[in-house]
Amino acid sequence: MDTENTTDDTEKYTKLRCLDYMAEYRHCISAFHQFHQYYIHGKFATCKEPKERIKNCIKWKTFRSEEAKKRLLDSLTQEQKDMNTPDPIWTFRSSPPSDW
Amino acid sequence: NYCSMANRDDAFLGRTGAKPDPRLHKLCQRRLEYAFKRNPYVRYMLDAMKKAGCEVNLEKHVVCEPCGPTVSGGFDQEHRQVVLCENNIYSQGCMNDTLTHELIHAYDYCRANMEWNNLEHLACTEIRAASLSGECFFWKETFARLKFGWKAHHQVCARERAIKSILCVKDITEAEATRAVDSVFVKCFQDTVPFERVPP
Repeated sequence: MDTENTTDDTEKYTKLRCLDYMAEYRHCISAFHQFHQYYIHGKFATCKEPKERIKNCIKWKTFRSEEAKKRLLDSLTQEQKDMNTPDPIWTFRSSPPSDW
Repeated sequence: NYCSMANRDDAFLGRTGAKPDPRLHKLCQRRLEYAFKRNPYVRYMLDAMKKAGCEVNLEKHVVCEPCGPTVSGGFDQEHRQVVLCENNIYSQGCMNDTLTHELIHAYDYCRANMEWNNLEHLACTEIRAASLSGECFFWKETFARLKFGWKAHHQVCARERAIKSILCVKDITEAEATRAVDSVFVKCFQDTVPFERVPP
């Protein structure tokens, strides 16, 4: 089960181009996004993560560095984990409510 | 308005049989249909509901009804319906916000075992709805409500509106509501699912 999930994710991520990460970085450093981050969190975004991703993507595509690929995949999975609260205050349902 | 979730009897007159105004009802329906078709936030929430397994059916799950004076909408957990107050929703923008707000409550109902009498669960869903529905967007706070603030003002706004929403629904003191909101604020503010981050 776990290996299947990793393979699926890897397939998805290997198909992404470095241009996509560059677009993400450009969006991150844009004035609109920076202002939005300041309004939400009280500090500006450093954009270190997107920049690292570009570097790792290029290293992997050109030099075929396995380390860079691993770092890239790790940062993508970490982002997915960060979206959800690690310690939610409620328990999640295993299936949608039957009376919907 | 911020009284968006209600169990109180005076809020939802429609549920107790008040006579609807046909003109307002038609206007509400028209705005509702426009929001369903065109508004990006509403459509994103509808898509998220579908992926979560609770597809929203326009006829079954969303209704326009007359309500009491201060409520603009609510999620009725007993009947699993989003109620929109045709007498209080004054514009398409208001309809979009209210609908997104209620759909976030519906989404939380769909994905989690929400206990509606648990003050912390209530506070959590209100914080998320205030933060993610667009009520606290910069231009609304600054130009419509004249509450100036830049640094992390979104959090201030979400907290205030969550407290006010809880006071609409539960008969408790402001101190208790504030305590409940503060106790879960950090966790619930970070939980932006189904959005990837707080939407602009």
